[in-house]
Amino acid sequence: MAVRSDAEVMTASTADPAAFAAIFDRHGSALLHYFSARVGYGEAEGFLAEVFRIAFERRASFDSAVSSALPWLYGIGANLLARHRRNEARRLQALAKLRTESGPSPGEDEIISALDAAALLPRVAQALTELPAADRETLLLYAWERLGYEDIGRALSIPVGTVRSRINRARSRLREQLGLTGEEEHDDVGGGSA
Amino acid sequence: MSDELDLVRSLYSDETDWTSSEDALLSRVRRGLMNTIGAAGAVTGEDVLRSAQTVLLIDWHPDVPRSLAAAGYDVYSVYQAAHRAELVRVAPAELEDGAEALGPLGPSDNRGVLVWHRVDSLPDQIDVVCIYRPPAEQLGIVEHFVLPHRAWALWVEEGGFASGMTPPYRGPEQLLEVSEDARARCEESGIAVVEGLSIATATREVTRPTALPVEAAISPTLAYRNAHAAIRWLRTVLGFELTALFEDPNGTVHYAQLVWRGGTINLHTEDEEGELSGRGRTSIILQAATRADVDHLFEKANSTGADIRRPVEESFYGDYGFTLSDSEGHLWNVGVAWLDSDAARSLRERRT
Repeated sequence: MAVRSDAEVMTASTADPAAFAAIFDRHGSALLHYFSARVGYGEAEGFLAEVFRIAFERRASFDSAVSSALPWLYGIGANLLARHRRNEARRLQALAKLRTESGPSPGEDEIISALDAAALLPRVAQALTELPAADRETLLLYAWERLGYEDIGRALSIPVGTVRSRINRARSRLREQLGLTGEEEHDDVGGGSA
Repeated sequence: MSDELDLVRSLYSDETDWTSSEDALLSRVRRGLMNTIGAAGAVTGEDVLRSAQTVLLIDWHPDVPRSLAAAGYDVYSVYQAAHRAELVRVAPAELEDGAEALGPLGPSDNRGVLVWHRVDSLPDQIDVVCIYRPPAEQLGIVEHFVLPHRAWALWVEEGGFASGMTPPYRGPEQLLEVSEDARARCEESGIAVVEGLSIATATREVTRPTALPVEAAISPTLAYRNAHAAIRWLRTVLGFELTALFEDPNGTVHYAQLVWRGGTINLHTEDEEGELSGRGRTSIILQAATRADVDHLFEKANSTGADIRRPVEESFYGDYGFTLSDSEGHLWNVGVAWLDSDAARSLRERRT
């Protein structure tokens, strides 16, 4: 027998609440890593529990035309994070510091460009905090969670066109702030500005 | 070779040693979730109100929209046309087409004037549909409103009239029952049914009486090194009464409210790093009437180019507001408090 899709599990869980546990078993780990990236490991557990509590209580409102529950869960997570925004800048700066101090991972010839990248990280963090919150959320779902445009649209309840324009805008803002050459030419990092 | 996306990615690469901790953490959270699921057979009014934000009313006792709006819910109704409720302190001089303003329910009703704004349509997602209609109409309401709006709870108001007002048209005894067919339809769709309880009463219980009475429109906030000593001093020396306290197990006071002869002050433990709550900081709270009022005040302040130190946000203990710095750096906190005892409890749990 084929494995049930998330949508089938969600539908079943309206009559049989215990079936919902499968949703946690499938996506708990992904959500944990998402929160760990965004708020740090120490805070992630509380967020994880809250997302699944809310998801469980709202399971009847899940759109069963969508097969995976993951974008929906990210959406609930994004709403929770929005209330936590004040700490985000601090978190990003801490990440930049951590990455810079731990240095580049030992590579071969790429070590030079990796060093350049490490030097840029505090500015990446700064540039991220300066993005509008909605653009940042969209970009991080794209870059860190590697969600596709459609799934991001589902997660944030916005049209795909809006996802695309937010990501384009966020990327060009970042390029601008980091002094990267625009468009598709990414052969040179960080120009002459010391 | 790196583009901006690689840089964003290299900012976060997982440093946590998951091998030892992830499984334990996941199984801990799973256990908590299974408890929630186990208790799900009996959904309480409190559970529903805690998870809801948007409530649609289909017929109501006059106390209901006021109580919900005062507690910060988004309240809609359908009566001939769709409307959205807003509580304002003073009746607007002019009302837009289709709007209606209803005064306070009596001299002791300090929640202000209820304005029903006409809206083109109801929001796509409604959390709770709260009805005050007889059994024969209930199944139709489930089909026409609860299911299309993907609401996850149906609240059937209790009959009876708390403030002794004349029932508008039906005796309360007819409204106490949930019809069999409506209940069955909800059950098969996984929609929680709450009955035998007024949503107005339940709202007051869940959110606790707003800790800041609406009359206390202006109150100062003081930061203390030892907040508990300050509370003791204020109570014993000046006779303040402690009316709200949100604290950590380690004694850090996030928010305390004390009342003296109808006046209110607020205090908290100072946060040496916090820009808004640092050493010796005093700020003033302006207590807005509603969330919409907060949004309106924010837009107004923002349009004048005011120095905004904290944009509108909701704290986890239920305060919704923003902070401005004035021409000489005094801080003004504008917000509406929705302090509830559950949030206080969850704060304690989070910190332990």
